[in-house]
Amino acid sequence: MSLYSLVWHELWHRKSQMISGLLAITLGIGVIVGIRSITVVSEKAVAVNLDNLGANVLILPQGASVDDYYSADIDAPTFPENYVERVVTSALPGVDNMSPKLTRRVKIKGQNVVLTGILPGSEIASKPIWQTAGLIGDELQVICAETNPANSSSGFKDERLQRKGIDSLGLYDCLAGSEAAKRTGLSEGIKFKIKGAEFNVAKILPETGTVDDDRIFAHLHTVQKLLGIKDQISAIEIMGCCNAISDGLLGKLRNILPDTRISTIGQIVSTQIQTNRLMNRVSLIFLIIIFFVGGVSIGNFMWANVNERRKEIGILLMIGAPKSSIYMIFLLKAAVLGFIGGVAGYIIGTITGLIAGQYLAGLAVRPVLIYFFWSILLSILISVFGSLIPAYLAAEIEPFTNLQEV
Amino acid sequence: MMLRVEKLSKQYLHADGPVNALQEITLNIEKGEFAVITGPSGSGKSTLLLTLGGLIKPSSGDILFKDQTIYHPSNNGLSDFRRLHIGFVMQNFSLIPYLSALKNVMIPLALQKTVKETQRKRATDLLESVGLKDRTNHLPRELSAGQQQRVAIARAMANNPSLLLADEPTGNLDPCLALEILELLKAFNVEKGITVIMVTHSPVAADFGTKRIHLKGGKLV
Ligand SMILES: Nc1ncnc2c1ncn2[C@@H]1O[C@H](COP(=O)(O)OP(=O)(O)O)[C@@H](O)[C@H]1O
Ligand SMILES: [Mg+2]
Repeated sequence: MSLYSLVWHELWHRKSQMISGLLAITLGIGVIVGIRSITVVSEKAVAVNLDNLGANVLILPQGASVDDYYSADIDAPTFPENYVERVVTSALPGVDNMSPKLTRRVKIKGQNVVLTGILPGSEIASKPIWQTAGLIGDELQVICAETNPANSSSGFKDERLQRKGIDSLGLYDCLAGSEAAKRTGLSEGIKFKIKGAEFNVAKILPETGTVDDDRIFAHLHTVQKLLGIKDQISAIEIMGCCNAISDGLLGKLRNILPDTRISTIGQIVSTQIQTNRLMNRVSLIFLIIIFFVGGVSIGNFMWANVNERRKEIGILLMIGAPKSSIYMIFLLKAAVLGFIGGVAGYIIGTITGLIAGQYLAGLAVRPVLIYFFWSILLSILISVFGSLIPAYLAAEIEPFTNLQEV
Repeated sequence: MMLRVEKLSKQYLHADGPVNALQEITLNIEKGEFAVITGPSGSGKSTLLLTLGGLIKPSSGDILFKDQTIYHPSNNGLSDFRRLHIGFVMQNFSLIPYLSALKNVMIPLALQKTVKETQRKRATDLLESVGLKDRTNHLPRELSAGQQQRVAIARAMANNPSLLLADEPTGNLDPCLALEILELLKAFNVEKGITVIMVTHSPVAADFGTKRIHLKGGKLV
């Protein structure tokens, strides 16, 4: 036995008391880990997004919130699908491709998944990243066309759909993002049900590092029918040419579709970056707060513990333990408590982050392993710092005044 | 000479004024003696005993242990002195409540950084010698008062002390159990030659001693 094993024995014999002493630190660490886990996904996504996302103008209904790009079109209000034709027939120069979408949260095999209805041909053509997956041929490579899109798409809606959609995506076929597939256990060729309709997994999409990874794509018209939102969509992505955007493409689109909200993805992403920055600042402030609140609360708990242990401290001093050992016993106890608080805080924060990220933003939040070490380190530091004074006072206790207490 | 006490005084500072708990006590304790400190309540018995064990610093005077002052800086605030030479037995048993009897006896050995196996072996032997062979894994609250005091005695013996200091070791025990504890102390004194100093106010207990120190109002009488 080592003198320090007293710490384990005490902790083991008074578990519930120890846990309550840790509450403040655990919750504090939990909140930080939760916020950070979500922000990290968002940051990562923003970082890859501009290069990977093909379409660069987003048309959303008037009421949609664009604070969070990744959830902007989820469960947003809708507008009629024929807005697509309005843009097409207005023959705007610089509009290269359009993807109307309808996005809703659904449950697949008990998992929350974001289901996006797309018109396959146009959706795929506007996403260069997918083309490398061998889904479609070179002929669909997006170019900044000089041609007037109106010319090439008389009867746009059906013809395009027939020509390209059927090739890659049948009415009851779907494409699964890599993350969504992993979570729901889907693989290519498998059949599964969404709201009673049977779908076939035509393709698992390669990982893109974007929000698309956690979505399932199916045919727009099928999704509309399933959800009972006939002829309505929640967003249109437009591939615009860069020079067209500087030529005032947004203004022209606003004239055509006055009751929508039109922004470049660049604008939305920069809003997102601002949100992330805010979140970082919030977690920093929170960090400072828990350092003090957690430290004081642990210190307070430790002081109560020292008083409760006065008699035992007296016994140890009587047997010949030096003051420094008493001091170390309490600091070690603080470190062990800090460790437990850090582990618990990390677990609570990560689970909260996973649930909140999934439910609030449709983000596939993953546990950030490095935070595990930071949580423990931080929690131990707070706990030990908060306990310095109580531990010092414990070591200064005069043994005999306690030995005479019965 | 085991212990030499020279003009030892202790004054407690109290809000109601200073208390002269010990006044110029001078005495000698020989090796192998069983000294008994008696006197009315409040006469300074505990103060004297704890001062001898290095738990209370006297206001003046000196204590020589084997001809050397115990207030030597090398004693690390007296904790070395206690750890190496002294065993304490208190009236209230002073066991760590969440440690088994065996672990309680192992603490002094842990402080001496004895290897684990030796700790266990020695603690088991000691518990056997106080008649608690089959109670080693019991927590203090799972033991009777008499058994708890036996564990305390085993622990006091663990560091092989030169001096065993006992403050009313039978004060919380009924007469029959008290006698067993006294016989145990006597046995360690006689068989192992350990010097014992025991505070008591029981005449029966006092009869176990080979030397009587009687205090009254902080003075030797
Ligand atoms: N910590 C203390 N502060 C002030 N007075 C004390 C303290 N401890 C003991 N005393 C006083 O010193 C005297 C001797 O006490 P003590 O040694 O406990 O006597 P005994 O053990 O003989 O009953 C008593 O009058 C007691 O009130
Ligand atoms: Mg007393």
